[in-house]
Amino acid sequence: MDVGLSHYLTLSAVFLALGVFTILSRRNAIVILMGVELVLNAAALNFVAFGKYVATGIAGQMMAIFVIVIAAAEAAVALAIILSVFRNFNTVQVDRVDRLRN
Amino acid sequence: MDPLMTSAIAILLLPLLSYVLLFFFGEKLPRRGDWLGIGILGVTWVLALRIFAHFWTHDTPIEQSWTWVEVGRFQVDFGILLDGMSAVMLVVVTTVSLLVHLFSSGYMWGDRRYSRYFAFLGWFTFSMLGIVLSNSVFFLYVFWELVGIASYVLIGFFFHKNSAADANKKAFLVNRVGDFGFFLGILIFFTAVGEFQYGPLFAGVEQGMIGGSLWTWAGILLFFGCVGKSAQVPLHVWLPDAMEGPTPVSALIHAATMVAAGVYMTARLFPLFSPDALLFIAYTGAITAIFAATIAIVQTDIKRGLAYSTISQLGYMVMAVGVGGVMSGMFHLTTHAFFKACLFLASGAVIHAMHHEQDMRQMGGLRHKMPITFAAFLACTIAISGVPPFSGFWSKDAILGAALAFGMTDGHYLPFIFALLAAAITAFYMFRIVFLTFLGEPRNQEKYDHAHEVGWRMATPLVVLGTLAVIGGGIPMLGMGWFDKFVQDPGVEHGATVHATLPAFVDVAHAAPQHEGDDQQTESHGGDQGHGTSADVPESMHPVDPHNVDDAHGDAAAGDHGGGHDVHHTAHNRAMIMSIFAAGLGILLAWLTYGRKSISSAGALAAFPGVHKWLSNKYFVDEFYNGTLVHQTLNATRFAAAFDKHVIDGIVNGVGAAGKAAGKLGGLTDEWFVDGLVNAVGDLLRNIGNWLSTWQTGRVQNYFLGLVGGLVVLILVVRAGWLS
Amino acid sequence: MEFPIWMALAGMGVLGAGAVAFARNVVHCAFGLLFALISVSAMYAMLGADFLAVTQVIVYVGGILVLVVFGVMMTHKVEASSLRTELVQPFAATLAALMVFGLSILTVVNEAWPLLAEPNPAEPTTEAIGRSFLTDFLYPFEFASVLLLIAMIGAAMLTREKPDGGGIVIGPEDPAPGDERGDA
Repeated sequence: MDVGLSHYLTLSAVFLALGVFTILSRRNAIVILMGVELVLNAAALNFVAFGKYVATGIAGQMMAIFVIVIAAAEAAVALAIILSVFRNFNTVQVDRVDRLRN
Repeated sequence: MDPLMTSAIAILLLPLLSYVLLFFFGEKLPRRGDWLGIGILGVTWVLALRIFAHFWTHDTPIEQSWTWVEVGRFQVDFGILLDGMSAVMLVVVTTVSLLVHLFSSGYMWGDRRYSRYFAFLGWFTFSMLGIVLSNSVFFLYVFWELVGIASYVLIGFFFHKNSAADANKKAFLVNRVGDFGFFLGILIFFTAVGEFQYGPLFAGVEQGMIGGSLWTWAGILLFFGCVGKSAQVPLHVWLPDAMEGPTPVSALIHAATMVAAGVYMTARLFPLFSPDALLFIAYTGAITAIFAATIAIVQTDIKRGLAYSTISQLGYMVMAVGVGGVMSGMFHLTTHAFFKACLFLASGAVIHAMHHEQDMRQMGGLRHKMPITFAAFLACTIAISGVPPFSGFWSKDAILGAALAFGMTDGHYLPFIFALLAAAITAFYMFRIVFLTFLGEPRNQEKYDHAHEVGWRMATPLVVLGTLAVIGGGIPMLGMGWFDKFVQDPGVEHGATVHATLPAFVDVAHAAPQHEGDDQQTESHGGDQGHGTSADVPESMHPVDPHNVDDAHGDAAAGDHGGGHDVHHTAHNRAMIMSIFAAGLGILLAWLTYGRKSISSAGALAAFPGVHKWLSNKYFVDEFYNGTLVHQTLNATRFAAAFDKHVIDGIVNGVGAAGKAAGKLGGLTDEWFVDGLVNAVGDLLRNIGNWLSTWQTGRVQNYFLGLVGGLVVLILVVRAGWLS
Repeated sequence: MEFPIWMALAGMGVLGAGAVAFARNVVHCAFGLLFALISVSAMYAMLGADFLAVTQVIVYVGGILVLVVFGVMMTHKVEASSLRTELVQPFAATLAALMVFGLSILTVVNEAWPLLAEPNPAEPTTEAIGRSFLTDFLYPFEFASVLLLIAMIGAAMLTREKPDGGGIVIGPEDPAPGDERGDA
């Protein structure tokens, strides 16, 4: 069987679903961050797959590069925030940080 | 615009300006502004003289109107009419007003409301001039009312005195009765003819747009205004009480000008009166003349005596117009204005000198102390008694002549008889006043000692008016008959037959009105006109509209004068003789009773106690009115008040209570029902809010779940086809 | 030959993602992420994106993952080597994930993708990417630079230490009101 567009898209869907699950269900903030990275990767993979099978030009790969750039910036800031939260609340369990409750 | 019209407008508005300036700034001016009032009146007087001079030689009226109100077909214009009659009136009003202003600066000096007084004099003068200058019955009425206000304010000038406050109310209310009729008359004429301005109105009436008894009654209603304003019987009752006002006011308003407005009005609106209406007018005037004269005999207050004299003289004037002697009526108005004003001012001087004593029984012998006043008073008394060659003789004589001619041609002799009797009585009571006040021995020595002659401010008007009283009728050597240049009797054209000593007379035999169309008729029927039968006279007495006079009529009239003129000549001569005789009789009786005391007044009193009681109680007219009208009105008032208090207020209170009860019910409803609803809604919302707030877990993951869920839903909605 | 290789690499990635989702130990999660990222890099290579594959490894694995591990270590609680990782809202999360997966698959399957006749041939892409950065994608390139700068500054500010240690310092040196230490 030849590997076609749909294979990559399916793989991307799997990453997406697992990433969403991680975000929704894990306690540890760092793990949630990892889930976000999974989702971003899924999207980038999608872009590149389309870039090969559907689109002409380099646009797909460019998008993926920018996704990586954004992900890097975002990870840095997110970790900074998690660190601050850790300093203030002494925990990284997100279900503990609910000061805005009710 | 004609320069004379400009003068007329200035004449009208300057006194108003005087009122405004004095009312607001008078107190701040030096001498409290009396010079301002006098000055403005002086200017007004000069302008009036200018107009008078014009009409000495010209006879074409000058008229101008401005649109005042225009609503659809209804239009009212404000206009000014200048003709001989108004020119004379202008001079009369401004002269007397100016002199009264001057007199007041002496008489009223020191009064608390000195400026206000002069302001009101200006207001009055403005209103009176408005009556004179108006060219429509509408504005005649407007200014009529304004003059009434001025009278009210001035009679009640000493309002802190109850008697003065009562008097001005009485004056206003009695005038109101007359004005009511006046207004009804105006409305009837307007309904029939559709015009307010004199020219078109007279023309309409002439064409017969109103006829029969309606015409007569409308005219009588109009005349009611005169009855009120000019104090004719039975609406004369306010004038004696009006003496509560300051004496210069009495001189100006209640002797010379305002009361004369009724006569002026009747003369002006002459074409609006049917022959029957004119008869009514004649009788009213005649009865008034003799009625008031009899009351004047027994008066002890000098001002009251003069007041009744005024009423009597006004009756003369009214009667004159009624018998068709418009010229003589207006002439007497003029001469009367001068000598009556003088008499009042002189009495004011006496009262002033006697420290506000008005009872003649306390006076006597004042001629030594107040020679100028005495001279003026005496001159005017001679004039009013009708002694030639004083002015009053000419005017009274003219009236008597007209009355007698009327009797001879019409068969109604009563006016003449009353007038003649009144003439005699007038002479009597006027000289009685002279004897009691100035001659004989002083009856109150203390007051006599304090009496002094008046200063120049008060003396000057006396002298001027006294002189006018003497020469106002004309100077025999220099030519008489100046008055008919200005006012003509109906049926006579301007400037016709100026008799050497007699004014021209109504040409009773003139059967046709002076119109172009009719002129041909007149000429062709020249022969017929000569026999103007007595039966024709009432219908034929159409006035000559001054607007229509021109020389084309000269021939027609001249041709007729032959016939009708004889009647008048005869009447006039007879009347002259009889009037001189009557005057002499009156003076003689007065001298005998009060001068030489040959006839005892006390004795006469004892001999005719009933008569005296009737006279001194003014025939109980006031008491009659009081008992009937006043009393019934008060009863009605009381009933209305009780009704209002118990019935109306009861209803109102009941409604209020019902409203209160309804309010309470509403309040309860509001509490239970409405508030219940509101609270229920509030509770519901609170519960919803509480439930919703449980969604705020504060946990980001929960929120993200919501986000994902929403995304899923969105996709499903967009791609709904997959589900099927 | 291509397909089995692909499956193996894909499987590695899926297993790694599974580890991220389900592993109890955070460090296991981190390693799972490592494998998932490498798998993606391999995918890039198989798709002919050579530069991208390398970039993925260098930046993502070498940069971001390292940073994440740093974060794990720094927030590690001493007493708990096995950090509690019970799941929060498991049912809802499962449902949501399944829905997302389902919809995505449906899209993939049902859509008529406008496929090219021949997939783009594999060529060296570095020059093309470089050229593209300075022509078509110039603006995004510059903005991305600014974004990185801002992120850098922001992250540095966020994690500044107060003189006595602990607490977020944003702005002047005053401590924020309220708790310094959360409920631990």
